This record gives sequence, structure tokens and C-alpha cells, in this order.
Amino acid sequence: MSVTEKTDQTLLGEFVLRGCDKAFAELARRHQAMAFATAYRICGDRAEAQDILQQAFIVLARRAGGLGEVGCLSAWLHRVVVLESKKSWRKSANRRHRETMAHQISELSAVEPTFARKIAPELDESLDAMSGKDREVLTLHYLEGQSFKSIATSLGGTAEAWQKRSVRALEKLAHKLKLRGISVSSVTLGAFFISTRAEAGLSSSILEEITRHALEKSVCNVTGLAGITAAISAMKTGIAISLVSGVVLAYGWGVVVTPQTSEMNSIKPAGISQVEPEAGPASRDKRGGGFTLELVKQAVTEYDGAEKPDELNESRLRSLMFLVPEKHLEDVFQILKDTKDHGRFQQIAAAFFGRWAEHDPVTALARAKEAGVFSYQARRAVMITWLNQDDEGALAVILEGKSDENRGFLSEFLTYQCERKPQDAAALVDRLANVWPEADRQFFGRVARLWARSDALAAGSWVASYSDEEVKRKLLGEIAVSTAKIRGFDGLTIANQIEDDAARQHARNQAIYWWGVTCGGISLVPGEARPVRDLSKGFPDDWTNENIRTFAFATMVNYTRNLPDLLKIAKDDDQRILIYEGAVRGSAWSDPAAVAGAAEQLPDGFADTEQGRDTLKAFIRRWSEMDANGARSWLSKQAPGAKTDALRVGLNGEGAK
Amino acid sequence: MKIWIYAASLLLGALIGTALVLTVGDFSKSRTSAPHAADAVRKKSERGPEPAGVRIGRMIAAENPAMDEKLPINDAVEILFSEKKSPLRTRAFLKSRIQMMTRDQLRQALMNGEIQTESEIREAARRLTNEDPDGTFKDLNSQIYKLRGMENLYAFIDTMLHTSADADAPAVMRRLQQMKRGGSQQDQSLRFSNYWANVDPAAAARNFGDLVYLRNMSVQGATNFTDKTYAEDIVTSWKRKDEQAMRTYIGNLPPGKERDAFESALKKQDAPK
Repeated sequence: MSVTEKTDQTLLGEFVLRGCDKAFAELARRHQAMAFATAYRICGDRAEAQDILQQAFIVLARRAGGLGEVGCLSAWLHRVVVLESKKSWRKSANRRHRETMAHQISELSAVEPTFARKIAPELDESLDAMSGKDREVLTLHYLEGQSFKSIATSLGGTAEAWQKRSVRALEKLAHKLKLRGISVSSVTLGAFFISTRAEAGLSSSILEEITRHALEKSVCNVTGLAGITAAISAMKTGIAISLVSGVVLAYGWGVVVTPQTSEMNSIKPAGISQVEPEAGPASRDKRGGGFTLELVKQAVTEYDGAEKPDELNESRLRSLMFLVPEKHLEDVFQILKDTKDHGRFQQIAAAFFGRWAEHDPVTALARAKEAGVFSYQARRAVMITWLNQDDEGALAVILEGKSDENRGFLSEFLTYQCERKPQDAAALVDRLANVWPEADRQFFGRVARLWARSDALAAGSWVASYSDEEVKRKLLGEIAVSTAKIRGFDGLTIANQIEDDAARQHARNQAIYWWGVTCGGISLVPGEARPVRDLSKGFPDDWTNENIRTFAFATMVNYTRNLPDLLKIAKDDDQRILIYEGAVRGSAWSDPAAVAGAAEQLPDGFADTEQGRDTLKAFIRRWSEMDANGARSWLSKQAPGAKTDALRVGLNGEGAK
Repeated sequence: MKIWIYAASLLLGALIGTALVLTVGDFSKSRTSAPHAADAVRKKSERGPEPAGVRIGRMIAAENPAMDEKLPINDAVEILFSEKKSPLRTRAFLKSRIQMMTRDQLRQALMNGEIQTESEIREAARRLTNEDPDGTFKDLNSQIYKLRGMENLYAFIDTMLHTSADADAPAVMRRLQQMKRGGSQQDQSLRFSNYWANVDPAAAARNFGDLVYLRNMSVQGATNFTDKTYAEDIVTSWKRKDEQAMRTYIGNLPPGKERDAFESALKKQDAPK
């Protein structure tokens, strides 16, 4: 049996028992791609990954004797590489530099670099934390590239079973990453593993050197240091040569060999001669060629001539505008101007000017002003693009004229920015406060409301710093209500920032009302509510009687079944009476029969006030509308008194008293 | 030794290059289903050039990692936002992503909560409603879509109602009539009836009684949204569009609650402000 046919266990045995270097070299060859890819994902630097790989093999050589019980060497080695990589990562004093390098190199990857940077440090740790067989199948299949058949042969079971396990394992891994705050699908994870594995791999000579070095280290530690250093240096250069030549070859293939569609050559409108696809991202489309003016012309003509606009084609055209190379901007502008149905092309023209502004906003703005029927959309696109790329420059232009039109563009941009960076939008609005107060007033509330959707407390603090008391009061009250609906106490925290006592109390009560209406019942059951709205331990000390009554009223609008829970949190009879009052009033909007007991518990004096009498009347009327016999039957059993009189009036009119 | 290492490196480089080319080739085979379908059409048809849209679809898919169909829309949003390029680029690319998805893919993405930006929710709602208004209506009311926050929920509801009302408003009304009476039905009825009064007040007036019924959760309970309020909405909108037709219609109404509501609204409109 040749070395390549032997199992990992056999090779380990030969290495330990007979000191067979060939066996160790074969082990290193088998696992180097997985180990290198793992190290590279974590440290982001190829040279460093190579050092880690070498260190991992040293560990393997040293501990080989004790690995008899290790079922899957790949999984064990993966763990070693993760530990070595973390050690190396911690030691590094120049992390920033490595991240930059990783970013540049990872552009080779099919997966987006930002995504790769975000996921890489967490991925291997999560993988390492998985259970035995899941970790084994992911390591062997995705990191080492072994087929399921091969895994089944070495570890037992069937290929189908391993394949299914791999799918489940990927899903578990995706879930583990989600718990670490990284949302990624299992499919993307698989693609990411494969893409990083494709980048990994060392030349046989380099591997031989690493193997030799590991063996030397394990046996006699350091011998011939100078020679090894030279070899490592040569290996590093070798790796660089491999990568660079590989990338150059691949890139050259993409640019030179990519077949151009012959059909495109058959469409050659007058005045446009360029047919060569542009080099660049778009030329990654291997089957259809890259950007050409003919393609734009054809697409525009097809869309212009269609009986009615097609959403798919419109969206494609809009996206295509962002692929227009700088040198063809004027040509594409001409193509758009030559269209028949300009109305249909407004958004496409806007996209085109957005692209132009990405390249050169000043020129784009100048051309936008001359864009005729497309001028408004063109100016809009240029300004919001400019604001996103260089808000200082764009703002300077906007502040020169302070026109309503520019105010509209600014508003659109701020809305966009609030989706991901509301604090930046707020900072921009703050800068307008002195130079353009009218715009500041207009945008302040809008940005605050949008910001409150993602971070209400931060938005509330920002609003509290505003100088205009009236604006501040109104906005804080509004945000307090919208926040209280979802996050209970946070809404009250925001309301508390209102300085005026009466306005603050009003805002608090409003927030409590909406809290009760939307999730009052849930807030009362221990364990059901999130901490931000858990009231199951009682009403907070700073809640007034009015607050308690309001909460009871609002809760009963939607959660009459939770009346017992509400009564449970009352600390004394006074609070219970407040709950009865609120419950009877609230049930007039929902199900009075469910809170009949509360009405019975109300003191007779409740009917002394007009508000009390109105509450009782609404209660009995609603009940009567829902179940007239039930209401009458209940009322007939009530003891005489002011309360019962009021209920009778509610049911039968004034004469009934 | 160095020479051997460098020679081997060059050889490995050639292998890596080939692997990269092959990998990209393989990747492109698993692009979106729309270009796939288009390819199938292309193979079948030998008569003319490939439609530009199909080629553009492939180019866009290859342009940016955010356009990878395997990447959830939310992740694509993050990538595009972080690029700090044109906001219109973000919206255009995301719209293309949504348009290039199959209906099932789009429903699945919504069910997984993978679409959470308002513009993209509107886009998805428009696309689904245009293709199958009934199915979308049922999906929404079965609460199978994960839409975080009231704003996102109403973005979907409004777009669905407006899109389907533009195509066939009476069908929307019939759907609402078939719904179980309650908060959700009332909420959607209010939004639909307000929209209809705004875009086609004459049609809304013809269906006044049914709409007022729909706008209130329970006929037995307190009428929170009275016929007078809705009559005012219709009159305000109709007056802007065709005042003469409005007055003729109200004048021809038989005496009763409906006529009273419209006359009261008209009086309010005519009153000096």
C-alpha cells in the first residue's frame, strides 16, 4: 500500500513508531490546505498564516504520540490552528496593517470583503465549539474538500448520511454565528468556506520545507537556524509568486479570453463605434461580455419601444447606469436624451446622474442643469449622491442658494441616512441650526422621529438638547408614546425629559395609556414581558393615581382577561380601587361582562362625580349592546344605591331612575 | 534550493490561476434564476440576439457582492450602505435584487425577515401584489411575514392596498368584506377607504354604505369612524376633481342617513373659513 492510500491513523502510527518522515509529510500534505485557510481566515495575512501552519505542524509532530485516540485528525488539527492563530493574533502589534492586507487579498474571494472581515474571526471559533461529528464533517468536507464518499469510507456510514449531516451542521454553525451577532445563511457559509479553501494551498516544495522544519523542531528544536530562515524567506517569496502569477493568469483569462457575444456586433447604430467591453467588475460576466455602449443603446431602445414599462427592465436599466464607465458618461447622456418617452426614463436618468456624481459631482451638477426634461431628477440625484460622499462640499453648494429645491434634496438624503446612520443625520441637522434655521426646524423633527425607530433613547436625548421648548415638548411627547408602545419604561424615560411639569405628566400618562393598549396584558404576566415593560412586580413608585387608573383603563381595552393579573400587582386597596375604575371604563370599549366583578367592587361614591356616572353608563350600554339579557340580569342583582341608579340610567334612559 | 522553490511557485501560480478561472465559471452557473430562465430562452431561440435585459441582469449580478442572490437582502443593504456611493445606487441594486427573485424566493425572504428596509418592503409588496393580489392579501393576514416595527408593517399594508386598489378597487373591498371583523380588518379598511376616497371619490361615494360599515369594527359598538367623517373626506377630494359631478350625485341621493352625511359634509365645505 502506498503512502497516499494509508489512513491518517496508520500514518500517525508509522511516524510515532518508526519515525517515518514520509508518513508525516503525507499528513502535512493532506491537511495543509484546511490548516492554511483556517489560519488565513483568522489572521488575514498569508505570511503569518504560513508561520501559524508551521507552528501547528510542529505541535502535531510533538504530540503525535498521544493522538492515538483522536478519531478525526482534521478536526484536531483545526483546533490546534485556531489556538495558534489566536495566540499569534494577540501577539501582533500591528493589527491595523494586517486588516488592510487581509482586505486587499480577500478581494480575490468570491465573498464580499467586508463580510469576510466580519465573519472570519468568529467563524473558526464557532466551528471549534461544535460537537464531534458536526465539526468533523465541516472540517473534512468544506475545509479539506473531501467528498462525502471519501468521508464515509474513512469514518463509516453512508455518503448520503454525511451529506445530510453537513447541511444540518452548516445550519447549526449559522445559528451559532447568529448568537454572536453575525447573521449569515448556511448557503453563504458553505460558499465562504469553499472560496477561502480555493485561495489556500502551498507548493509542494514549500510544504516540504514546512514539514521538514516541523520535524526538525520536534526532534532537536533549533538546528541550522540560518539555513531555515533563508528557506522560510524563500518560501514566503514563493507564496507571493504563486499568488501573484495565479491572479495575473486568472485576470488575463477574464480580460483576453472572455468571448464576446457575436449578436452584439450585429447592432451598430450610427454614431457609436465603441464595442469593446470595459475591463472592470462588469467584465466578470464571463458569458455575455462587459459594458458596451451598444448594450445601453439596445436596452434603452427596447425599454423605450415597449408597449408599457416593465418593472424588471426598468430596474435593470437603473442598475446598468451605475456600470457606465467614466469615459462613456457623455455618450450615455446623449442616448438618454434621444429617447422618445422621457417620462418613462426619469428614474433611469436620475440613476445615471447619480453615477456621474459618484465620479465628479461638480461636472455632474453642471451637466444636470443643462439636462432639459431630465434636469430636476438629474439635480436631485447629483445632490443626494454628493451629500452621501462629501457632505461638506455638497452642503456648501446648498447653502449658497438655500432654495426650496435643495431643501427637498437634503430632506431625501437625511431620510436615507437615517436608515443606517441616524446620528450622522442628526449631526448634519445640527450644523444647519445656525446657518439655515428654517431647514433646521423642518428637519429636526423628521430626523428625530426616524432615529427613534432604531434608538429611541438616543433620539430622545438629542431632542432634549434642542433650544426651542415647544418643539422639544411636542417631539418628546410623541417619541415617548411611540416608544412606550413597544418598550414601556423607555417611553417614560423619554417623557421625563420634558421640563414643564404639566406637559411631562401629560406625556407620561399618554405613554402609559398606549403602553397599556398595545401590550398591557403581556406586561403583567411574569416571564412573558421583556424587562423594559415588565410590570409584574407592581406599579413603580413614581406612578401617580392617574397613571395607574390610565394603565388599567388602557389594558382593559384589549386584555380584559388579564384583570386578575392587574389586581395582583396592586399593593393596597387604594390601588385596587383605581384599577376597578380604570377597568370598568376600559371595558366599555371591549367586553364589560368580563369585568363585572370590578364594577361590583367600586365604592358607591364612584357615582358621585359626573365622570364616574358617565363611566358606568358607557359600561352598561356596551354590555347591553353585546348581550342585553346578560346585562339586565346582572343589573337586577345589584344592591340599590347611587352606583346602581347610574347604571339603570345608562341602560334605560333618564326616566329609569 | 531557491530556484526550485521559485519554479514550483510559478507552477502553483498557474494552477491557482486555472482554479480561479474555473471557480468563477462554476459560480456563474449558479446565478439568479432570472438569468437562468433567460439562458434557457436564449438556447431555444436561434432567431435573434439575446435581449439586452438578460445580459444586463448577468452584468449586475456580477458587479457587486451585494447582488449575490445567496446573500440575504439585509446583508446586501449593509454592503451597499457601507460603500458610501450614491443612495440611488443602493436603491437601484436592491430593486434589481427583488425584481430578479422568483415569487417564492421573495415570499421566503419576507418570511425569514430578510427584508427590513422600508423602500425594499414597498418594492417587495408591489411586486407580490401585482403578481397575485389575493395570495399576498392572504399571506399578510396569515401573519407569515416577519416585518419588524409598525412602520414596516404599514409600509407593506399600504403598498399592497394601493397597488391592488389601482388595479381593481372593488376586489379589495370584497376581500375586506370577507375578513373576520376586528382590529386588523378595521385598520386595513380605514387605510383602503381613505385611499379610495382620495383617488376615486365617485367610486367611494357609490360604495359609501359598505365602506362605512367596514371602517367600524363592530356595528353594535360605538361608531368611532362615523359616516360624517368619511363623507367629508370624499367631498373634499371630489370637490377638487369634479365639483359639478359631486353636487349632482348628492342631489340625486334618496333621503336618508347617507344623504344627510353628504349634505352635512358639503355644508361644511361651503362654509366660509
